[in-house]
Amino acid sequence: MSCPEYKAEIIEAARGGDRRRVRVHLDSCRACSEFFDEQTAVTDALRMLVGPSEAVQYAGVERQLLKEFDAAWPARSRAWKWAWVPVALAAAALLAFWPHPKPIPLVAKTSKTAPAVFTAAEAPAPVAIPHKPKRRAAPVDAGPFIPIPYTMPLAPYERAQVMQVDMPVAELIAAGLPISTSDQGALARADVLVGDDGRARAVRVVSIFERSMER
Amino acid sequence: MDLLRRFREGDREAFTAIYRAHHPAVFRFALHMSGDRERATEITQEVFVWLIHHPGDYDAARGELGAFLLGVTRKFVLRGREKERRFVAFDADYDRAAPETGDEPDTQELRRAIAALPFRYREVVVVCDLEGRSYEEAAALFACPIGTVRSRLHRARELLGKKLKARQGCSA
Repeated sequence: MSCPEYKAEIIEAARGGDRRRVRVHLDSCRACSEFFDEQTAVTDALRMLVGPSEAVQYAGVERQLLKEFDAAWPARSRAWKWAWVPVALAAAALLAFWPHPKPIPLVAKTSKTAPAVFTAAEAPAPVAIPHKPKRRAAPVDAGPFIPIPYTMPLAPYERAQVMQVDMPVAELIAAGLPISTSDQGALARADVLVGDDGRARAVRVVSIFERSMER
Repeated sequence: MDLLRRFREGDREAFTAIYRAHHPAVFRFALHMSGDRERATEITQEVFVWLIHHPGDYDAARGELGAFLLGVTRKFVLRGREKERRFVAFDADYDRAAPETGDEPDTQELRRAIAALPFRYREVVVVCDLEGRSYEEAAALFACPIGTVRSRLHRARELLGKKLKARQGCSA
């Protein structure tokens, strides 16, 4: 290797690298030995520059940055940290006082011992549920429960509940239920058979409220 | 990593800890590259304000936060140079400016020598020799091959060596 080829090795050695690779050459070459000393002096001088004086002297910078931080994170750092607590409390209170639709036992009123919850296997024949509609309703011959398309049928011993709901007739027609009415905006009161998993499985229409009847 | 996670969640103390750990390196780089203590303080502030507004931009898989912040600092320095160029026709003075400090004459001389280096040599000296970053980190920072970083550093050190030698010759 010639002197120019050693140059890179000498610089790396002066920076704290492996000196063994250049030692023999340095011992025999005065120019390269001087170059090595020069580079070692550069390393030592550069080390002097990294000291405590090389820091931001202006203490106000940190204060200003924290002000900026507070402006950028107005809520996330403090208010939002616990914001979920009142929200959760409000949601819990809402759930506690929400007027739940009463599950209506699918049994005749006279059978006092009949359970409100039954299994699919022992589901009794549908019985018309007495109710007091506020508006005049067109009575519908409450037939058997019609399975809702694309839902799993109830297993033989699966528990289920019946819930009575009011819903647009259009929705029932869209779901594939055979309902004939001239008023597409009518409301239907229906019994919905809800499985143990909370999913509606079957439905039957009890009565229909047509808008023309309100006049 | 926990500090970073807490900072991203809006923890003020975590941000303060990050600032205190990394601002000296950011400031040093800005000081040597701008040659102006006031400007370096401004750049340091700009870097951390940027970090506050871009907490998710740092990807730990691509290197440590210190190296990432040096990259951000470099961008602010370059932006400052671009602005200066719009108003000053010849920016020779800008490049030759040495940071104004209350250092010993020897140290001031060295600062002047570093400030007189061309920008691409100066930044390599600052990152590799003053900040102790590896060639790989510097290559990632400057978006150039490792061989380029090495050759620039060697050239810069040769220039610094000559200047120091000349100064010693004058004082002798």
